[in-house]
Amino acid sequence: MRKKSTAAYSAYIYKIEKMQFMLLFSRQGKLRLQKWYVPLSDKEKKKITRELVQTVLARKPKMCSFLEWRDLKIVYKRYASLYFCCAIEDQDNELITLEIIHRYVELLDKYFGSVCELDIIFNFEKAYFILDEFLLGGEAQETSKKNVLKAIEQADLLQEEAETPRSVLEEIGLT
Amino acid sequence: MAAQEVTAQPGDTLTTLKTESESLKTKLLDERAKLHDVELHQVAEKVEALGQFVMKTRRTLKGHGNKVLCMDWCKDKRRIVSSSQDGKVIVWDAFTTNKEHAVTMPCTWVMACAYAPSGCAVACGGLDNKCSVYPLSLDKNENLAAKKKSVAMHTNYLSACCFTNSDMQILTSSGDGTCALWDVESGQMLQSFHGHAADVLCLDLAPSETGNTFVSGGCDKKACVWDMRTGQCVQSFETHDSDINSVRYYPSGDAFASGSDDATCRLYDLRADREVAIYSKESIIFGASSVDFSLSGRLLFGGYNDYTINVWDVLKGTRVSILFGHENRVSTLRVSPDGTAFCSGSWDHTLRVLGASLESKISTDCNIVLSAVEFMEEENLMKQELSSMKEQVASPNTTMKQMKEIMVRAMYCEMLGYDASFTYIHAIKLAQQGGVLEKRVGYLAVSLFLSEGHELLLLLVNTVLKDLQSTNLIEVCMALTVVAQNFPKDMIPAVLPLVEDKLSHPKEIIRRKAVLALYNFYLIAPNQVQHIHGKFRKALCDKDPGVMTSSLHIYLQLIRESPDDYKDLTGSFVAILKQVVGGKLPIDFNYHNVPAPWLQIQLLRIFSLLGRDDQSASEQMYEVLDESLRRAEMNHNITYAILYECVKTIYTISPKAELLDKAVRCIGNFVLSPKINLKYLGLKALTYVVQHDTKLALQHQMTIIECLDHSDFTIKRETLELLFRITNAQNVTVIVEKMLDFLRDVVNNFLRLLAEGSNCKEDDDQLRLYAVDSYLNVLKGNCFHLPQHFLQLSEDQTDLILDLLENLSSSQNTVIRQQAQELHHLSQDSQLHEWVLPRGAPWDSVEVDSSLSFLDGYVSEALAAGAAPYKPPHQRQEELSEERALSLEPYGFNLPVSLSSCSITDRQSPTLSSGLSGNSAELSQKAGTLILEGVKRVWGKDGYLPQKESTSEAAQVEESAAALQIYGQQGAEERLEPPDQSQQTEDKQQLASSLFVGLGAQSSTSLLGKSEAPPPRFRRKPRPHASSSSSSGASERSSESSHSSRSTADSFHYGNLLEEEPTTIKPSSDVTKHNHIRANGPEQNKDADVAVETDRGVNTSHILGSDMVLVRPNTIQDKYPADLTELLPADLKELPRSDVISLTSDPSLYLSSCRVFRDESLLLVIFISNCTDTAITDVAVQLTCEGLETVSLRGNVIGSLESSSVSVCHYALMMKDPQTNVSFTGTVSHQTQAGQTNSLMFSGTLCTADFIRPLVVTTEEYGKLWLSFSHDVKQNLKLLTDAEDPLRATLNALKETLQLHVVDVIGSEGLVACSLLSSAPCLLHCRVNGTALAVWLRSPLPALPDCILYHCQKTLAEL
Repeated sequence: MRKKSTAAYSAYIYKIEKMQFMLLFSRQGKLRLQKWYVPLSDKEKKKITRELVQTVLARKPKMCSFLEWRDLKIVYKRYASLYFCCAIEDQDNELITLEIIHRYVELLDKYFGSVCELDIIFNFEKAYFILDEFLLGGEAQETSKKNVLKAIEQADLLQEEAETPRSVLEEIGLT
Repeated sequence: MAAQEVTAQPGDTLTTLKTESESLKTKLLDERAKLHDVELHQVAEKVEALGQFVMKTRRTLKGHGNKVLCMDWCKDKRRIVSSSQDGKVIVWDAFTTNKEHAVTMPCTWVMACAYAPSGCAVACGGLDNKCSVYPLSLDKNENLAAKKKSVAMHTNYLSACCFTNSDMQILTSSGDGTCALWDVESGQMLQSFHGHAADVLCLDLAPSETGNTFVSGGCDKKACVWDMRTGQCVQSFETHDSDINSVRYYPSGDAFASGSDDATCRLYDLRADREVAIYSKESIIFGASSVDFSLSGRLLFGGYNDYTINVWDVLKGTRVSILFGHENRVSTLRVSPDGTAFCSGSWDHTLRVLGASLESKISTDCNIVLSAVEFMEEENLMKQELSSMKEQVASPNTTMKQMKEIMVRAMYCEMLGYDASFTYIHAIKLAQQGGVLEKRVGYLAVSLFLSEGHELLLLLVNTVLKDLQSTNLIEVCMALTVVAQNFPKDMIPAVLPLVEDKLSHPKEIIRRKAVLALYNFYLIAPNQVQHIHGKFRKALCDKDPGVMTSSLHIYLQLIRESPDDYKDLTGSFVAILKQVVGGKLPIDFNYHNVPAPWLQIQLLRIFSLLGRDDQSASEQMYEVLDESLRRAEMNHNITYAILYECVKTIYTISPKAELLDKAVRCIGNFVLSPKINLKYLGLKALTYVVQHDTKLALQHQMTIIECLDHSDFTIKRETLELLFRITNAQNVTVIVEKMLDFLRDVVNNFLRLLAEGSNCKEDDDQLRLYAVDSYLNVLKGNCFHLPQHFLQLSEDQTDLILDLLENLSSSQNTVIRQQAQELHHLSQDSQLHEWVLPRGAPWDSVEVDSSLSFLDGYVSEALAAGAAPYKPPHQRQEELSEERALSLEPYGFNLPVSLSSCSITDRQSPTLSSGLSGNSAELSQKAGTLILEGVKRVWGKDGYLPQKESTSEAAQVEESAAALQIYGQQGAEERLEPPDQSQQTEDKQQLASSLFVGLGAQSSTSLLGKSEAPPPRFRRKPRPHASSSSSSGASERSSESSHSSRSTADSFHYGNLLEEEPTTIKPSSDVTKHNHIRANGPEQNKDADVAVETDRGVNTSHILGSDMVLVRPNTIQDKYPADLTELLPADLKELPRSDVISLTSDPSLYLSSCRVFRDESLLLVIFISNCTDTAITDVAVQLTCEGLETVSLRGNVIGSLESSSVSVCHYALMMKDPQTNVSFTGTVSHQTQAGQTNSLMFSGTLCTADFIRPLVVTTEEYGKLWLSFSHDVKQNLKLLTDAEDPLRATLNALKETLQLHVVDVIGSEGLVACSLLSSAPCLLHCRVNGTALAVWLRSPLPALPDCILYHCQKTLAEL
């Protein structure tokens, strides 16, 4: 019933039930975030992204959030102008993936305080940090909202601490 | 006098002038009023109302130290200038809320500010009576005040200012009652505008480029429209009751709105020269300080002194929305140039940017912003960016901090699809050398840039090693994160010991990451970590739930590979889930009040692996699974996710009935959910569980049918998947059809893709080659079944085509041969080929002239030459059939008679009655088909078809035909009655029955074998009908009165129309009787025959015969108007019975009989009537009957029969050996008064039908019975194809005459059961097979199926 369309893609054997990748893109089809949990060539990534963005954007709002695509199941959800889109194994649980997306949005929301697309554009590295703290290697690592944010804040705090003395030193060096 | 006059005159003049001006004013008003024919809101009534209007504050700009008095947008839609009472003018970036510039004015109360169209300058002014222009420079350090240019000079405060369409001119309005136009460069006044009688408070420039007008409003309650070229006031409006605080042009420039202290806003139309609308509300009592239109002009935003912003529908004059937020009066309000947001300034010191809400969680400014950030994505800029990055990266002076910035930008570039591979090495360097801050970005860049196998990753190993040993927690975390995501396989041994050590790290976050890193190692190189399985166990027992959860990833994987090795852990996993479900975890792990759903799901997955085919392991799980199902009751996605996993697990592990039931109920919740996502999951779950138990699909068949037509592709596909799982021998055709339907779209899209190609040439070629290859493979195979246009496809590969052509030219199929020829010619003539099938054109754009118009000339020539005109096939067929009809005419005369009588005589031959099988059955079938044809000529879709009736038919028949025609029409009318809306549901139900046939009753399915499974337990018809059908079916037997009961008592609504037919026959008695016989089937017919056989040898026309018979009962019944059946004993009256028919008579006695159907026997009731005026004595009845057991019950000897009285005697008859027809003979002897003994012979026939009783069984019982019977007969019967539902109609017809019990009807199959009296059962399985009804009968008695079959054939033939 299924066909593998390209050789390169089918070369990778999906024996693991984990998230394959996660994409965030805008309603205009602009990629805002991408995270690949399976090794793919840049060309493949681009192709997948292009195809997926087109497919997902073409879907109507009342349609269901799941999509069979190649061998994978795409779970997507739109939050305002942003589409969050995950690829999982066909036998995986779609609803829990939907909740992973939701949890990630909650995390972003909490961190940025009423998050909007701009926050992600201008602070996309932060968005990545949060994602890495939440999902590691395609598996949910820490599902407690508090713990994730604590970890991120600790790192942020450390950053600021590191920043201040450095700038002082630089000033000293300049003077 | 004169002086008096003089003194008086001025006073007079003044008053007269005043009155004159007043009268002129009223005249003017009158004139204006004449132009006013209709109110705006009336005109706007037809306009659609505005939808939900939600706006939210997106940005709050804080920074002013006092009341904000004025603001303006820059044309770039991003920047805002605002002025405040604290003397500050601030230029903001509305997106970032950054202050870009700030100017301190020498005075407080900066009441006006404006952005120059170029965006390079701002103008402002206030109590300093001046308007100053500040050029904005990009250099932030430059002192703006130094560049200040004073442009305008008024004698009173500056109330408003506004640039014209260039930076070079500025309009100002002032408290001195004037407006003025100034040249910015020179500071010269270009034009001044006098006309206001008091302070001018506001002005606005007409929006059009050429419009040289502006509008101003002031304390004189007047709004004036000015011509800038002449300086004249061209229009003025004075309807406000108080100061006009704000004026704004309508976007088209044809109207303007004003806001005033009188708490109203008004709309003035310049063309109508009048006020056209007032926007006010009783509840609004504070003045409007500022107004502005939305970009479309449909909305009017008004800032009010009561701290609110009211949004008005301009056309309807109603308030659409009210926006709160400011904590003091709103002083200024402007819509952004692109209309997506507006900014309001208030006395609460803040400005707020409000934007329309986009429904959900992430509030968004993207509409405003998108155009602004678009620049980031423009290729040129990107290239510039990349080249500058390259330079910077290469430069030795670039600091780590700068490098970090570059790296962030590089990530962004990569994401947008630009190659930034030159930064990869620097990313590693950054991770290596930077401080924590840079390291973090460096690691992130590495994890994004370099996937698992990238060679540069090797360079990272040392860094990772170093960081893993770092004392800094963050560094360790970062290292572990990168290790857990992408790490070169070869280098695992290097870091493994370090990662292992981290498993006992005091911080749980480190332990967690270490576990996940090990998990990653396990995935990419399982044998590298084999020796540390023990440590996994330690992680599983970790006190932190997070670490434990992470370790489950590994266990899931391990258990998947070898479930048997981990059975011992089942108990632990169960215990964990129990704790989780019981809410023992810290509240942090709750997700929407559900405890650790991810953990739960992970455990459930492990359960399904451990419990599969393992009863003992499964038993440990039952309890907690039940608990999970019970707990997960909240209506939230996450609980559904858990439920879904539970259901899957329950169906995977070894089954437990109670849990299965619960799980099925859960699936029901999913499937019936209105939420489409849940519905999908429901279908998926169903797809999963039907693999275990196909009948589960039955409960949801209607939903499945609906999903089959769902607009969502995904749902449709999943439904087909489900259908695929329930495919069996019976429904395979329907399901395959559905799948093909679905594929049709796919195929079309695929062909389009092939023809048009996508963007990537390489892929296209690959795809095309693949397509052509597989296509040729198909062609080389058996190509008879291929669609025609298959051949139109191959275009490119000529040699292959030639090869193929050879194959195809020898094909048997003419169409394929023709196409092969066409192709052959095309391939030889490339020009023609190009013309016919242009390459690269979309495949469906190739138009085929289906009317073959290019042949018109040829055709007309041929016609002129005398060729016969072309007749389309259907016409030819019609003509042909007409001919055939004509040729059949002679048979039409006595067709029904000859055939039926012939068949009857056939049946009477001893060989047939002893048992039908094989050839004889075929023979009878032939007779059946003949009859079928004959009937078909007479009966059409609309009942009787008069045009086909032969003209030479007997007049009587014509009469009856006429009657029938009436009936037919009536029938047609009645047929119209079923409401159309039910049609669709019926269609669906029909589809359902065809799809789900053969499911359910699993046991019987398997027992019965593939082809003839009994129906499942779905029945849309309520049971009561079926249970009552035995009695109702039986009661059909009793005379005319039973007609009505029949129609009401019958269970099949499909059949109702058919059953009601007899009731509509009520014309002349003659015809009635005739029809009656036809309609009532064999037993009446038999009665007729019985009568006929009293004078044996008379073998006349059937019709005549029956008429002859009917005369006598009529006369008798005239003689005995009392119903003979009244004489039946009370206990028999209740039973179903046949009509009373006459047996024989002589001058003194009249014999008639009636059959009463008892369950265990047939009662033959003989009525002996004394026709004479005297009593008849010693009446004795003797009955003999071959092949039947006869028991005389009562009344066979009557001492004396009074004159004109009737005696009744009963015989119970039992048929032990099934026979088609049994004849009985008997004598009645009596003594006349003369003492003479007379004997009267009588005889009659009984048929099997009289001994058949409905057998009421359920479908399941049916299935079991079916298997226990050895003797079976298969036969095709005639199907009543004219009926709406042929199967049901046919079954009903059979049921009516044969007292069968229809057990179930599923799609094209029907299950029917009956028994020979109360002994031998017979089961019929009927299936619609084209226009025939394939019947398969089974019974323990060898002869019974044959007998029943015979009667079925007969019944159907006579219909």
